[in-house]
Amino acid sequence: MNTVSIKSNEHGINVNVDQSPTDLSKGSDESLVRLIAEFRSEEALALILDRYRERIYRTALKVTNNHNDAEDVVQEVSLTIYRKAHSFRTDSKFSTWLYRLVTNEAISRLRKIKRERTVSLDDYMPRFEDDGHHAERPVVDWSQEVEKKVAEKEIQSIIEKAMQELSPIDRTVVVLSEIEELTNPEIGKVLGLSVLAVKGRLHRARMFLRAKLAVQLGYQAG
Amino acid sequence: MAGRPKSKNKLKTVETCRDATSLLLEFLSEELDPGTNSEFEKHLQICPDCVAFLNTYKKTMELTKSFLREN
Repeated sequence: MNTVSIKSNEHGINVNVDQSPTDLSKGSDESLVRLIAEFRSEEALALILDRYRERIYRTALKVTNNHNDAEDVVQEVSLTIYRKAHSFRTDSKFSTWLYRLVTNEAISRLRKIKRERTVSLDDYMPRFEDDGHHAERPVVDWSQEVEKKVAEKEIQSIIEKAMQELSPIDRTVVVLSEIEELTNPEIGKVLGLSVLAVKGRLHRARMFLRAKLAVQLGYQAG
Repeated sequence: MAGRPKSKNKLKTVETCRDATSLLLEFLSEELDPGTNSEFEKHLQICPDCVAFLNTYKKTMELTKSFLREN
């Protein structure tokens, strides 16, 4: 088991672990957060940020769609890790805690700015007859032709615009699921939602994106 | 209290396109119980509209992943 000793010097508190700096860099995320919480170790913070800065930035950028906001989120989250390391529960996964900090910050930033308008997803959901069958028939299978019919850049633009029309939480669910590949229970933990709510939001967001692509291809949304 | 353990996933009927559409996410992530999964597949065999919807839903997931990850 590692031992930790603390020495004061002119630069403040110095944390020594019975490991070389190289060994410290091999420490688990959870052990580094403990060092930050207990000894205010800036070295441990720097190591955590080395590991996660890019992921924090990427997730923040996908949620905010703005490079400056994403940079701000990285800064703010770095400070929050330092300040709130003590609130990290060691029985939970560090990445889940980190995603929570990142998405909270990104979503709250979006809400403050109120930069975007979200659309009602209901307008893009499939419609059904009273007997439960598709109202708009036939449903066209455009899955094999989309990339032949529409240029890559245009598909990208349709998806990016549609993503911006989702609410901040729905967008975050899509980012965590499709890009970060978190499971639905993990997303639920990050966002404080039930698994059922995560699935519902993800399903509706996917159907919305699907409808947006269908309409751009000249087909019915449903 | 002893007794038969509760099944986490109840068998769901898949009689209509509305039923099938509501189960798409769980079908694709292989979360449906075997009975419901088999009901879902039976519906697909007789419903080209749901097959088309399923294929385009999957394609949307694929494109979303691919384009969002690129940037």
